[in-house]
Amino acid sequence: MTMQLQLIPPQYTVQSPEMLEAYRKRGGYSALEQVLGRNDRKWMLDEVKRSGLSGRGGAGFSAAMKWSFMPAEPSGPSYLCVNADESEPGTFKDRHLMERVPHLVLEGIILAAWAMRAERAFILLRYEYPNCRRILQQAIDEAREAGLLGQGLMGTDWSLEVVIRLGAGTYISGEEMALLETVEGNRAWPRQKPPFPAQRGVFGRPTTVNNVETLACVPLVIAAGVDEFAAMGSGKSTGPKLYCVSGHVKRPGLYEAPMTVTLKELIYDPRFGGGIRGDRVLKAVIPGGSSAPVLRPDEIDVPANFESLAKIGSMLGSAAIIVMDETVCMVRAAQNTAHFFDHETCGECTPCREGCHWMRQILDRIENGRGMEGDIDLMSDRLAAIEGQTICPFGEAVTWGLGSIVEKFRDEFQEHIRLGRCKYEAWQPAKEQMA
Amino acid sequence: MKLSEQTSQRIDALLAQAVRPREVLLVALELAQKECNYISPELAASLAERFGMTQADMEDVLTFYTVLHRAPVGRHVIRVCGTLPCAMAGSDGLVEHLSRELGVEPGGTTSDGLFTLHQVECLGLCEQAPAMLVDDQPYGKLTLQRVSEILQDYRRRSS
Amino acid sequence: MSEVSINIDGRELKAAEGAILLDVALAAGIYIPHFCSHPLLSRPANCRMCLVEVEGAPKLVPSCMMVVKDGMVVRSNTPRVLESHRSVMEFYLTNHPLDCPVCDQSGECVLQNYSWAFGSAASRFEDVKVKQEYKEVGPDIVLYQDRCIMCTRCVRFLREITGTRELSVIKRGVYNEIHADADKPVDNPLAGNVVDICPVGALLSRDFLFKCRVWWLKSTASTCALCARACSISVDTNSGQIMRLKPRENASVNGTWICDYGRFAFKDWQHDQRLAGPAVRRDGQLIGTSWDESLQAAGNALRMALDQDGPSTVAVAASPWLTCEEALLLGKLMTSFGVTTFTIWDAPQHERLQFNGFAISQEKAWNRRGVEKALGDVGLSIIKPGRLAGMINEGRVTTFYATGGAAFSQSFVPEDFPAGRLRQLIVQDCFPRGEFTQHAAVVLAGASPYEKSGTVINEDGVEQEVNQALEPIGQARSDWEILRDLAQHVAGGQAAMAGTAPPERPGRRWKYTRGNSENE
Repeated sequence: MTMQLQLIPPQYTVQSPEMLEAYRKRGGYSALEQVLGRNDRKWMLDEVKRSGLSGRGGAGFSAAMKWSFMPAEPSGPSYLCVNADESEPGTFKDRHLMERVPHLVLEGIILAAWAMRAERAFILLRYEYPNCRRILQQAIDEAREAGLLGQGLMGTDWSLEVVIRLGAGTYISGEEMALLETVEGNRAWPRQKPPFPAQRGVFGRPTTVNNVETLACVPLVIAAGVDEFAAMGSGKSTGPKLYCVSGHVKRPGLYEAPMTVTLKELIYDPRFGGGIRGDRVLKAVIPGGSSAPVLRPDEIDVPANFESLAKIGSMLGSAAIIVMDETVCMVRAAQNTAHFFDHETCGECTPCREGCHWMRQILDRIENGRGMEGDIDLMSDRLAAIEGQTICPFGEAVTWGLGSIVEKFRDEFQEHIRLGRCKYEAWQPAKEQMA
Repeated sequence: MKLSEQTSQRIDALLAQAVRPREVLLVALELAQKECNYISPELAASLAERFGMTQADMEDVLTFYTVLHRAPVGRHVIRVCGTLPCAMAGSDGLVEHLSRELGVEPGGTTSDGLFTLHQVECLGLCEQAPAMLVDDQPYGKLTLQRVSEILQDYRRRSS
Repeated sequence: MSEVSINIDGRELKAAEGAILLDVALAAGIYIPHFCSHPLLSRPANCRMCLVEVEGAPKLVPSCMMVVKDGMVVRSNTPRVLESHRSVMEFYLTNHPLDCPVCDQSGECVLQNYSWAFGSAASRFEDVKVKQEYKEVGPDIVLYQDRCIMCTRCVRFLREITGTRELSVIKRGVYNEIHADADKPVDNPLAGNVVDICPVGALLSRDFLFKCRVWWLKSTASTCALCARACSISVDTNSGQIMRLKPRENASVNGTWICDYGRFAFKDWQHDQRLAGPAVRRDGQLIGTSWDESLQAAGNALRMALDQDGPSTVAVAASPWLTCEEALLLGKLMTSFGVTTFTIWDAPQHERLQFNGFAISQEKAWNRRGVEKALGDVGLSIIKPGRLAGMINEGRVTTFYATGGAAFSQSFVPEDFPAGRLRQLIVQDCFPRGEFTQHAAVVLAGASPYEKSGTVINEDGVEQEVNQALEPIGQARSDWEILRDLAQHVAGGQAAMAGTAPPERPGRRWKYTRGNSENE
């Protein structure tokens, strides 16, 4: 049976998720059968490699390449960590996957674990996703019942345990090296690489960390056909992609599309965002979560994929597209983002710990009418000084996310300082529920 | 405050399947908190002992992860998202409204012990902004009126 | 182990395979600034001060975690690296209180030194500093949290070396704090080391707090006398007083640590019962007198015993608190008189305490090995103190020359030692030892371990130097000087002095930087 090249069939919802029986009907677990039947890890790695599957967590690194770092003949246990600590502002795709198609995620986990000879998969799930937790656990229980998990699964001599472990309200736990610490029950202070997780991961054992959406693509690669998967999209941006569209569009929501779709389409096309609410003027778009450099309206007619966004100095990141219309004060947007970073910086290394708090204070002052001459240059200088200086990519996120707003909307910051106040209205909740 | 026999056994079961005890620490803390409302110093001490940790190491974890409470909270914990997509949709206004209705500042607990109000970072409910989580229940596309209704609901259910 | 070749700043260097870049650079005299890295602890690379350019790496890399590879080309002083130092220093100082004028660490503070060497003179920070609490985290350890730079050396020390885990990091971001539970303060035998390894003025010793600006300290490289580990220490004095003891790095003895017993041992030698000068017994009472008179009394007593009863009736106790030179002189002097009955006092014993890479010896004296060796070198064989007591009881030994030198609270004379059965007891010590000393005909006031120079050999056979940091208290003299002077007062004694040079050393000065000790 072959599967359609689709991550989330629209009929499945959090109220009525796709459970085992339905999943099998669309070809679910046929990939696993095929892979275990062939019993050829090299073949599977080659297939995933040929599919061009790139990591969906933010960095866009080749999944097959990452798996190939794991030892071929481990002298002890190896682990898979599933990064379900989705916390990047504007991002909710993994929640939809876990809430609506839990078995697709689970089959991906089993396939990836098999490819890497992992005996245990830790799903590090954020605490704030209680529905995911409940539905995933049901799926795990169903799979175990059906002999798809546990000792000697599906008649092999291999065994896999999949366990849900909790993040607990901490953005940094979603960073690859911090996630290892969280799984180990420590404060999520990222470890300096190298050593990489494949060398020394959870409890010192070889470990690979994969994003939920990356793993959900794996069954499709095998069961929908590697050629079809590779043909969808372009370059290293192959296969179906989930886009999280939020902010000032008419239809905020999760949209699945090939990575040839443009940002402009995702915002304006009636199949996606459907245009700016109240037909106002677009002011800015963050294309990949708060860590991604902001784009101006004249920059959005580009495919929403890894290469195209990198080419214009931004990134696809977690494909969280935050749309801001003309009513948005960009200083306040930066201030909000700085509050986020200041709250979430773990404080392990100096430039990020001190820098986030400093930036927050400067932005608070500017927004509250107490900006000073020189603040903007100081911010640009200090933000640039965080990039490349930190243990983990949080530093880059701060520099790119905030630095780009300061750079591209410099006039607005100057105006705040000159006027000694913010001329924009406060952000208020809607009086009535929007249709 | 002590854990019930049942929760205690659940933690034992978790420990039995863990590669190392600390692997299930956060899950156990969440279980304990669910039962006891918050992680009191005594509870922290007894769990630290169970996990072979010093109290200082327990404090390390408890103060790092923001969903763990070290002081009593209301029967229902309201977490209003304050990150950009929700902020642009009026999260601050919601929090002000909730503050007024509940008579507490963010971080505070109502005098009847029913609600604790927090403004938190991104809840991953951005397509439904502004959004909040009450205990385990997400609510999206909130208006001031809707928030009042939800509060009423919880009040009614608890009386 | 095989070697690799690397190039740092144009210098070709050889390094052991698997070595850490920072260590290799420092050993070669190429200074790369660093806060969090400590050679004996894990390296989290959290301070971001040691970033360097490595050819082929797009970003700057932390040299404290970079394992050297053959052919590696490193640059530690390019504009990009220097800008990184300046930049990170600016971040460090945003929330630092800059209270150097009232901070004990001032003058030996890595942050202060780096600010001078790598930072900027002016601050661009105009906002509000995070204020954090002053806390007492241990009986002798205070924490000025707002000076802390979160290098976590203290936390790692207590996790990795003592395993006691009293400190942790709590909270997050800029509000991170070092924390000790109220019921479990930092109170272990190695606790004081967390103060030593703190690169800034966050963790300080309560004992030393506000006692002395460090630039008024005279530091003398010496050795701890408290146990047979004989750790390398720095004796820091001011106005003839010991202000504090600090560890000196010595890979073959103590790494970079010392124990708190040794750290505060100087107080035990400062006890107010210290013998400040020599005394002789007159009409049953010990009466203070001059050195000439007391030495003459000792010399006469010895000569009389030797001449009248014969050398076999004279016994000598060497003390494990003597230096090798003192023991050698004692042996030479006494054997020149034909005396061959020698014992070595047993030092107090305590359970050996083992830590990761460090141990506190069970034997509470620094130089038993050295004394044994010195006495062996003059051909003496040693009997146990118990056996000597038997000989005294049997009346075979009637004159006893006993050296001491232990701290006040250390007892080494066996309780039932038959001092009362002796005809002549001559004591050379720095404290009265109860009844034993009450039987003495002559008491010669000796120096404490901080007041003399020489050599000691520790339990592993490592030879170390002792350098005089203080003048002996009052009239007291070092054991070497007493023995030299005694030789002048016993007929025939001078011959033993031939070829014996005083164990004085050039008084090596010592520069102390926390965790980064360097010889000046």
